[in-house]
Amino acid sequence: MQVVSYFNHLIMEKNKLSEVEHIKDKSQFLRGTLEESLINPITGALFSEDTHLIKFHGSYQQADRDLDSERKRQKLEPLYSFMIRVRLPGGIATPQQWLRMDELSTIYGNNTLKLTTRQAFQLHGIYKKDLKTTIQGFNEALLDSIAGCGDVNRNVMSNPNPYQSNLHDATYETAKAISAHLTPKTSSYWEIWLNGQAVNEDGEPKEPKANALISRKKIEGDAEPIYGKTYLPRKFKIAIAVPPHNDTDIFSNDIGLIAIEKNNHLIGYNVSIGGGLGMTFGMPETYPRLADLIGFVETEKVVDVCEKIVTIQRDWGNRENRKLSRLKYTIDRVGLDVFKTELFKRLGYELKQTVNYEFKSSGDAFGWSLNPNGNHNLTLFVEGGRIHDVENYQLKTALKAVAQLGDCDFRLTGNQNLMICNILPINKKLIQSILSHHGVLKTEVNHTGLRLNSIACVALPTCTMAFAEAERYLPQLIDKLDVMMQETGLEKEAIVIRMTGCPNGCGRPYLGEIGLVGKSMGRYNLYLGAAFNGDRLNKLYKEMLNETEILATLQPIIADFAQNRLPNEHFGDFTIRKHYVKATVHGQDFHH
Amino acid sequence: MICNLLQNRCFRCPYVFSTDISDAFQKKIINKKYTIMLFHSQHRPAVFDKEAIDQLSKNLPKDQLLWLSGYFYGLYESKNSIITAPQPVVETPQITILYASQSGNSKKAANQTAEKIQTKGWKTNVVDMADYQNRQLKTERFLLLVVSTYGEGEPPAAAETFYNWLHSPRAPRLPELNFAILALGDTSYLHFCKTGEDFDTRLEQLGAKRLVKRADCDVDFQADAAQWMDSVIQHINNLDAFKATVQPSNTFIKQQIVEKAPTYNAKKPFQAEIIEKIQLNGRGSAKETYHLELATESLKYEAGDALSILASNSERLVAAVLKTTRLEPSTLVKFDNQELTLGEILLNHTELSVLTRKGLTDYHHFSKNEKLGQLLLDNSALQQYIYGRDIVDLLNDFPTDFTAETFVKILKKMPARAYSLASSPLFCADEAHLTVSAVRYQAFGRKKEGVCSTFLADRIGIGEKLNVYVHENEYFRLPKDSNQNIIMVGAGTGIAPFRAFAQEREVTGATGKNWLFFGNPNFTTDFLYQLEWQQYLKKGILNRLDVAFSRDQAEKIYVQHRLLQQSKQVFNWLENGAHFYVCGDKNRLAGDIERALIGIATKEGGFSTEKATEYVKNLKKQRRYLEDVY
Repeated sequence: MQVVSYFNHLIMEKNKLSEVEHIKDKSQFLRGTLEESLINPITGALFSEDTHLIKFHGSYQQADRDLDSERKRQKLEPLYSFMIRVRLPGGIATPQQWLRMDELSTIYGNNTLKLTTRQAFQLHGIYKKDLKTTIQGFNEALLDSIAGCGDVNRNVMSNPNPYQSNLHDATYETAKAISAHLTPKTSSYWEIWLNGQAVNEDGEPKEPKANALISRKKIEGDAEPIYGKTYLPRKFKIAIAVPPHNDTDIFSNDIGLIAIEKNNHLIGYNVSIGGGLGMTFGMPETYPRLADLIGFVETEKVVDVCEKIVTIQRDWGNRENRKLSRLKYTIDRVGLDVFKTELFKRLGYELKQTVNYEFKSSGDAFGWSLNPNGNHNLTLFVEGGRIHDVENYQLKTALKAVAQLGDCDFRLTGNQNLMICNILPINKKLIQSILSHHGVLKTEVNHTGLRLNSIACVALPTCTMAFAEAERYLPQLIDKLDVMMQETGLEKEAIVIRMTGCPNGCGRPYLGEIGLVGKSMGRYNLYLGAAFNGDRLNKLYKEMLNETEILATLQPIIADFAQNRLPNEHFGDFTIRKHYVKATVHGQDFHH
Repeated sequence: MICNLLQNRCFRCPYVFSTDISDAFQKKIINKKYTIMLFHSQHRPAVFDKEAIDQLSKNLPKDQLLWLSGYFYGLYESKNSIITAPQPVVETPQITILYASQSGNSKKAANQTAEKIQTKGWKTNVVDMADYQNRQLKTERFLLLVVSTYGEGEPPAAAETFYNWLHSPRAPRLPELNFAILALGDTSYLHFCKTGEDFDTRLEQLGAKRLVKRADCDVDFQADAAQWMDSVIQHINNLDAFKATVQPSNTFIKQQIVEKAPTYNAKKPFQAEIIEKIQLNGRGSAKETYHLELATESLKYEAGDALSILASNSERLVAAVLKTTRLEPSTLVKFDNQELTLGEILLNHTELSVLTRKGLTDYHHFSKNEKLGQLLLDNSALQQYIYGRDIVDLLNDFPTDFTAETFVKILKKMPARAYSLASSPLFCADEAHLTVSAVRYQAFGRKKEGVCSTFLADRIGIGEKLNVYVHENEYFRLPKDSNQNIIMVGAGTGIAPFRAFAQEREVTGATGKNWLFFGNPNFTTDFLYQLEWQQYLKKGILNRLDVAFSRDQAEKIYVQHRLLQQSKQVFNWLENGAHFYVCGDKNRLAGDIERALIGIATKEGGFSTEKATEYVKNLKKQRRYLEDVY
């Protein structure tokens, strides 16, 4: 009871609420003045309050930061454009959906597609005037971007490998069910972007709303039974993993679900809560944190469990300081036991004892594989998750040609890679030759294990938060590290390396055996010691390194690893055994 | 009562004071009928005896000070009236000078003519053709016409009524009339000085006597105009009616000249240093627009004026000319009373990139080329030929062997190019800003360039000096009444004078509302001065901004479409006295905007097309519809 009154007090202090809370409150279920912002012809940007609201619709306002100072001198505003994140629960897209995304990125975007670390598509460089057309474009292909970003539950991740276990279809259904249940119910998305119309599975309008009168009625009727009108205090992430693969990095999620089988059938999930990687430099009260296991739940009840965790975070989460709003801080503030007690109270039942499981890796297995049904799968390495065409590597064109064949599906992995799945045996050779013809399968043979296990966030030039390069720079840094790998005979060794342009954690850098987090242009903090399977965070090793210093710092450690590793010992474990860094046992000791 | 304070204005310039001054004093002044004048501090006389003034005023109470200000004004007025033009001994006939001006040049020339004539002690009456009573014409004995030509041979709006009447059967016979015509024009137009020519022919038809041959002047009219004035005066002087007049002393004129700020012209340009040069278009634009800032300490101008720039040709074009003519660049040739090398003449003193009818006629005179002769007889073929061709094309198409001497004779002197100023001197003290679009295109197998725009873009940089002088746009000004609303329509670099207007309205705190229509191809790259307009909107200096980016959607949208979309508001503004300004391309924009306005008047005023056309014409006559097109 004491706890509850403390949080009531927190909610009542309206004047202490963060600015975004006020914006959400008066937004009329995420409408704000978005319509006016979109038609304002004087600027490519939105009114400042709407930049917060559009996130809930799946989009971020960005600018080409490479051009900022040049354009300022030219008396032009920054080259504003929008990133749109298209949800794909479980990461599975049909060939038709792939083709549509490809087309939209060509016409309205920067002619590239970004596969995110959370199995979503990102379109970049969409101008304000093209936002509606673009969203309508993927809506026609039955894709949406609502809740792509914002203080709501985001894209629900799930292991995309159809061959890895028979559980896959079942977990995919769970991912879709959770996603649907936690999707905001506001009609504003349809009203603003789709002229009041959504399409159902037959391509027919789902919710026709012909005129303003109806939509006004709809506003009055709008309600968010789970979220309420101010939604969550902060973003919320859910992921499912099927052991032994932790390719969705479930411990970095607010809710992580570990699929448990019995006789090849899914019986339920181990539930972990309170993961989250973001932190802020100079604020030691912020830290990355891995989720805690709190029990097991049967498949039928998993949606209910997710909903109740969400509602506790809705009521208890910090709405005054957005840097301390994630579920991980709520749990650490009240204590895991108090949180669990409240959860069980809201559920009306208790979770069962956690079931044993084992994770072996967090990466992807590349190349061809065979499904139980006789169809083939191909897992492709996509550096930085960027689908684009460069001179001898026409990945975008190649994948478009593959999608045009139909008869397969496209699965985005949690490591920014791509699977082409359920390829009919008769198409295997054709697809292989299409890809080879465009230079796709040729280069991958030569990639080192380091490169194949790399992740980079977008960072410059479009991300507003980046302090340093990531996606544009990591490949070059790996070129140089590759030389070391080859010299030490480690070229096939899988080492997880992750780089981000800021400490917010999009590329999950604190789960990299080598983590590089941008601090200022050309300078990075180096983190070491994360677990290869994603169940231990890394720790700061050196600060503010430039490229020369990064190479000089890593060189002796890699040499040491090549000579003195134990059999099958991973690089992250090695750096701890050899005391380069201390193991991070809990998020709260990440900084110590 | 003289009280500029009631109008909230400085006595020496048209600009207002901040409103609080006027509020504080207004009541008092009306009640006590004091004479009040206020000046901006910068309009204080150059030699100002502050000590004497302080001594005189330091112990006086407020109301006595106020009274004194009126007393001093009275003194000033009586001193002023001493300096008057000397009276002629014998009454001479009045010389009426009618001008019809579009840009203000005709008015300027008319006034200069009057000044010159007044030095002879003769009576003059200078009248705007728009205000002239037609029936008065029968009584005139001496009439001088100063007229410009507008567009493709049309009379300027101010001349229209008089022109039509004179060309109608109602025009009276004019056997008593002596006339002379000064025609202003631009040789880059085919129908160069046509209005002047029309008046000349018609007056002769009506029986009037021509005093001197008509002078047709190019954009740089001063020298030819001065010659015409001298010739007119000489001819009048020989007439019996004027013979007995006394040669007056010319103190009056001198006095006026002394007071004027130094003037610069083509012969004596101001050397302005380029202090900033920025390409305004974002990456990927098809446009190439430059923003230039010049240091201009003693160069005086007003918002709305243009700046004439003396450019030189590109070395590439000169080389092409030399190659085609096979002439030696080092040959010395007499040009404009100097011995110069041919290379120097071609580079700096002659027009090579634009052809004119006159140029072709002169060329034909030397070449005697038959085909060219035929071309000169066919107006539309000629017009088509001239478009996009330069001197090298002409030399190639009608090969002729020239000596350096004769070749130079067929070339036109390089005229200055005028660009609307993009700054207000009140806002950018000692600076003048320009917005220039580099003209480059491919035509008839060769790369062509606008001479001055590429001179500014490619051949001169920051720190270098540019020869300039002010091209006054007397009519293209903000309304005298600062409460009056304005609508500005600019496409491309036509935005320039409106930047000046916005700056001026900001500095003067004018309360009239400002509405800008702007058009260019693409929003992301071609929104000229976007950050400034956003600031002006934020500050409320710009009340409305409508933009048309023609290439941002499938169908092309231009400023005239935006005007039509806002037709109701536009018409309301006009009905409430708003001034309407257009700046941009003369061939496309000007006509489209005029048609749009006629459409608006038809739709919102319920007029017939005829009435609506009349409505728009009237706006022009009232000088509320003003164009700066090029």
